[in-house]
Amino acid sequence: MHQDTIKPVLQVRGLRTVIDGSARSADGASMATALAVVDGIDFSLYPGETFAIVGESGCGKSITALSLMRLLPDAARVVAGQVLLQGEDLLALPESSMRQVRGRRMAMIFQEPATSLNPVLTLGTQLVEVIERHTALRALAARQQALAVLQQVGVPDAERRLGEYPFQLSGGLKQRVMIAMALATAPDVLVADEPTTALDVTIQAQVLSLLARLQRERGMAVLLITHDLAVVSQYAQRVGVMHAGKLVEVAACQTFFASPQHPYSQQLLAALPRTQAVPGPQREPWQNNDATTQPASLLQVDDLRVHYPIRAGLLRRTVASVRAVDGVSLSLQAGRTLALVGESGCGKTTVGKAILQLIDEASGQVMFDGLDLMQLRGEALRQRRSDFQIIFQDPYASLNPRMRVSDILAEGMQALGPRGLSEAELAQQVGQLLQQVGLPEDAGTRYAHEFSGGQRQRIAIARALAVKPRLIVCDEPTSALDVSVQAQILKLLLDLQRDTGVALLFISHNIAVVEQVADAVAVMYLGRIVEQGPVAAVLRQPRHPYTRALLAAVPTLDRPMAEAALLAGELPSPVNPPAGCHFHPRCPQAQPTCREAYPLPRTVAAGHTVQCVLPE
Amino acid sequence: MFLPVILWTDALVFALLAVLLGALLRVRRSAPLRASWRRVWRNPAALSAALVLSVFLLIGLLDTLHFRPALSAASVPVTASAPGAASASAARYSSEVRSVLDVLLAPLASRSERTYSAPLATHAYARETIELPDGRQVREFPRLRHGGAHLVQLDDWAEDVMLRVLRGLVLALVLWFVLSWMLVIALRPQAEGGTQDRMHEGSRMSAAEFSAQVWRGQSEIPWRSLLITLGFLLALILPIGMLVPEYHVLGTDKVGQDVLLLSLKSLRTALVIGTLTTLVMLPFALLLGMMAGYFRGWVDDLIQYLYTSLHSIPGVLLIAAAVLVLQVQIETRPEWFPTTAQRADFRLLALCFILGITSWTGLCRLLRGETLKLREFDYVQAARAFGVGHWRIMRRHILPNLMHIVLIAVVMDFSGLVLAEAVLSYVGVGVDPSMNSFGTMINAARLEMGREPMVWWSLSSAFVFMFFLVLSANLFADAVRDAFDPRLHIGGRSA
Amino acid sequence: MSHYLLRRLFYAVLILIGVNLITFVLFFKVNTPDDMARMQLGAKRVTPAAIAKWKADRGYDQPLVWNSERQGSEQLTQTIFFQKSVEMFRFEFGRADDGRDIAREISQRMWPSLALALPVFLIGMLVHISFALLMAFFRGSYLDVGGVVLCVAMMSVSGLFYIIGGQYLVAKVWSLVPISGYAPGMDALRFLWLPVLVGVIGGIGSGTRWYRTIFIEEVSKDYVRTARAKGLSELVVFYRHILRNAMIPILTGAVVALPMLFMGSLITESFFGIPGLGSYTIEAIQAQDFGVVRAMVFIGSLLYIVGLILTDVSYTLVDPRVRFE
Repeated sequence: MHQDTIKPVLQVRGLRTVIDGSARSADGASMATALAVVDGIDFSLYPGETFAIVGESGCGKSITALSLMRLLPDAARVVAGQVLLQGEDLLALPESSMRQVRGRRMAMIFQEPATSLNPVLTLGTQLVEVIERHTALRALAARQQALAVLQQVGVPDAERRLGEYPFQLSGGLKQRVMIAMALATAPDVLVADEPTTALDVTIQAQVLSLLARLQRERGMAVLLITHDLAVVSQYAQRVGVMHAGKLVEVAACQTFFASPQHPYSQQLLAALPRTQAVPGPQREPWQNNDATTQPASLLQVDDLRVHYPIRAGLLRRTVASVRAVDGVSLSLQAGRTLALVGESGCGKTTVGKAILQLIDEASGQVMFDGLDLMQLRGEALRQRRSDFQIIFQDPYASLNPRMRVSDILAEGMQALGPRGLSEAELAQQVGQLLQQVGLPEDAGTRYAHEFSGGQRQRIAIARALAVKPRLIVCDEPTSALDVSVQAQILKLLLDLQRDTGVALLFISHNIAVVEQVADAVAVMYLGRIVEQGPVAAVLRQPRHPYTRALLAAVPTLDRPMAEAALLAGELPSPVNPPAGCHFHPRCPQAQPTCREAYPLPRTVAAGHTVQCVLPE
Repeated sequence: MFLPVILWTDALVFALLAVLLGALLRVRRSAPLRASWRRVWRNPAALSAALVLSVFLLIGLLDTLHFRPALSAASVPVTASAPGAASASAARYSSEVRSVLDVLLAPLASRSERTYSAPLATHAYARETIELPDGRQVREFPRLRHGGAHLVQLDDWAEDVMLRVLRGLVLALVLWFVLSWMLVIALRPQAEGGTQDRMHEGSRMSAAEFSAQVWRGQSEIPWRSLLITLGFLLALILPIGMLVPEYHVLGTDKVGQDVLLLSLKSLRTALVIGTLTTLVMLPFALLLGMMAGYFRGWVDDLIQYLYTSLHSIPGVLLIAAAVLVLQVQIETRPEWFPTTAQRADFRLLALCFILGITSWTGLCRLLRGETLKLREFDYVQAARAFGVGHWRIMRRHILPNLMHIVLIAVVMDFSGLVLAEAVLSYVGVGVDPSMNSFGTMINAARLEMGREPMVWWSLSSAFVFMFFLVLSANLFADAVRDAFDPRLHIGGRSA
Repeated sequence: MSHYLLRRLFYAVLILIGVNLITFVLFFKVNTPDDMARMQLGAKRVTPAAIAKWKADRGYDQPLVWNSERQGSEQLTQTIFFQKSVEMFRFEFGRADDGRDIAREISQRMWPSLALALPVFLIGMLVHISFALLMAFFRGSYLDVGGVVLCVAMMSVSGLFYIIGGQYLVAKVWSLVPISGYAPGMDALRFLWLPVLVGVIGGIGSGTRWYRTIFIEEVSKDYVRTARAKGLSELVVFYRHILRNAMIPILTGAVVALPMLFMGSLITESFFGIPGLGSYTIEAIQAQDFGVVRAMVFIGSLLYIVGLILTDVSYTLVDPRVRFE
């Protein structure tokens, strides 16, 4: 691909980074344990290209990035190798010369824009600082330059923003400022460490296309560190797969995605949920979606609202409210899966918890099997609780670290199961559950921290299953997991659904996952459902402009990103949502009527409704 | 032969021991807790501090086993003795409450001088007018009644002291070797296969191999620092033990009491204040902090108001006010306290409570904050989804996850409380003046500063004892905090 | 913003009332005036007449909260609660046992207290922060490790020993200053510098360690890495980035202590014979003068609450995140 005439701007040779640990071996002998997190990697980065290093958590990709910049945490150090920037070995430079390189010739942006900016300095100060450090510009000239870069990265109202503090900006804007800071001195190499992982998918699309544009304009080389193969396929020219500290495969993107060579790469690609995938065999029973044969709803939610009051003033009167959920209606049949899709802050998790009666501020109607759960109180509600359960996103926060797995699983049975369950019966049921979710039987005697993320999620699933629920709310059950583990957990959920006939309310922001597991999908925006219907209908023929934009923003392996379809702006505050249709300020097809009233749901096809005035 | 007496603070100390024992059992059964404690023991300073602390604790515990000795027949007034006085059923007990430590230190207590004498002195510290046998009066330093009384010739003093110290050191060395060897034998870990040759058939590592490992500082738990500390302790204690029978090692105070005795007796007071105060306030802090954080709303408002109000009163003043009130109560009701020991003990207990009331607010606020966080955790939500009751959730899901904060607070508070006792006793709102404590020692010693030449030894003794007690408590507390505070383990600190 | 402060003020008044109730219950309910009289008069002279006279002298001869012998509003005002507790809100503290007006005494004695406490506070903070910065800057080095060990050791020494040691060395052995005493005006300097020195040194252990913890916590934050990634020198990273952020908890933590400086230091003042509020309190405690102790409790709480409100205000000034909300 690269002719010999083009010289790489950055060359990494045999880089080895270790983390010192005080861990000792089991026989008590203290080893000078230096865990090789980066274990001898080589790669080159050419001018104007994007090279992506992709890998699952803990593979050493972030440490690689920090090693290049020599910004490693105290416990880690580079023990071997060379990092040649235009032929000069950065690892051999004295620290003072390295400072000339950082921010000048090689810049970096980080994963968490929220914490990566200094909270007490204005954006102007932080931008001017790097400009004055590396260029001859001073004072007003530096400020002019700062303003120029801010405008280049698409920060609206840049003049005013210079005087603002990071907390006054949304996540997407903060990341834009980070990019501006990195690019203010026109570096040759930009290291981007998971630059969009903390951002929503529409914002991710904005930021990535911004990076791509700036790279084109400046001919800069970008080292993109990411866990997301779809992002790689869309933005990188070459890719390196990292596994356990080693680069197991380096290839051009096209060849890589067409025919990955290394078994690990193949495994990684296979685990990726494909948006265009054919529905798996397990979906067969529910393929005939005739309105006539639809069974009665197990769950029927009507006009669900969750308004958190904001109190202010001397007497703490309610002056406003956060409309987290603002009139949501949906229905779910027994044994089916309904996916609730939306960006963070749209209220989807709140809907799930409100249905389970875990939120006091909720109002509306939640009919479960013909009974309005909202009306139930105390003991009556408690008795019904075995029918609906929940699985959470973070497998680390969802299991009590002080309890054994068997106690965690038994808790629900003791609280809701038949009275007077004997120890032996409990133990037997716990064993059964563990087997059901594919965990070894002796797992019960251990503590949650001894398990990996995926295994913990299995425990969480077993906990929910313990009381034989008919509905499980799955709140982003796989978004904290690596992609290969995610595939296993999704398969487990589908298998369990097939075996037990449990209905799933699947809350997710990941369209690919939703397409794989759900029968129907509801798209939420700012506390309301904008479109719902069968998966195939909503995802293939989206009617609502927001749904379309959302789908367009999702990076996929199969189709290129259309920059024109990008959604501008960010999610407004749920405290005072825009009048009329909440989406109209960002809507590319907004009309004057959109500003006046929230559109009523309109049925466009069997079971497919959309809340939009646009004819179509 | 004797009648056991359990004073109020004794009972609470025993309760504390029971709690500790229960906690120990829990820790043994729970892997995460064991791991945390292993982290504590991996800290060499903590290990050494724990050894020093346990020596202090042992002394304090010996001083906590109280009894009233039976009066021997000879000391019972003859006039009152009935025919059956000798029989066990009619045994009479002294009204004086003694402790096991008192018995062990009886030789020290019985050999009091008339007034000040310097450490290891043979003569008094001040000249006195002495009448010679021939009737002349001279002013000179009189020989002590007990200090160095066995010396026939005063020139032998230096030699005698040296010999005793030497004997003590030799004994310490022998004992150290014996104890170290026993420790090595007992602590040998399981040898795991592989690179090292096994010298014995047993599955354990050979003692020689393990001791070499310990010596090189390569054992997982840094036993080397423990052994070094043990060596220092033995080298300190045994020579003193050799000197004690004939000398006042730390001198005597104004009324001729042995300062070493006073210091050792003060330890119990310091330990009781340092531990019981936290023990008595814990239930309040835990219950209220957890309730405020869990229930929120008006419960939270009320509890916050309560602790903010209490906290806004300057600590010393609240303590002073409460102790003043207490003093009035004690002095106007002498009938409550038959013995001085009981009165002093009651006052000590009350002081613990008063200190507890002023110091629970900080912990309560911490616990409230943590509970606020915990109640939003997914596993608490999951329990709520199971319809588990509030109190059960608090007991099973919140309380166990607060215990590390409680533990850290308990060990961190200890040293502060020991120091506070000294200040309060100085102000006059501390322990009963009849009770031995570092505060009363310092208070008395302070007046001696003005003397020419200065009487420095009581002050120095109080200083040294307090310093080592508080220092080891501080080192231990730091290690516990580092091991149990999860925040510090994120992102790996540099060694 | 102003609403917020009003609310805090309202809350402050509520807390003061709470403090007042606590002290009232402690001093008049748990302990009746009769108890106090018996205690003060001593066992020998206790006669009903003597108690009655003692109470009448001090105005303790009224009912606690409700005077049924009076008419109208006097039923409320002619009571111990009104006269002794409610009056405090008007800074009427009555007379001490030696007959002097407590309010007057307090207003005179708070200046020597301030003259001692303020320099200790300011110099102390400067010294502790400088040491802490030095240790945090060279974190992990022998300087830092040694510094921490020294801090722990210094923390383990009772404050009493610092005073005694200082007096012994400076005043007695070197005879540089009088051991104790006080003089008004500039003469006070002669008497003050030793207690100030002792106060600063005594606080080094805990102070330095505390500030070091704050700095170290900041050092590990993400924005510090960003600053380094810009190529800034370690010194600039420290002063422009870390120090700015660390100053927020430091300043607001200091503000809460500011009003309490008027209260002075109990121990230092009494050791050095400085006629401030601290020594006043100690004398009152030792003489069991309940009126003075009650007054000091009230003043102390009041100053603490003022400190809390100042903290709120200072947050809004120092922290942009609060300022703009």
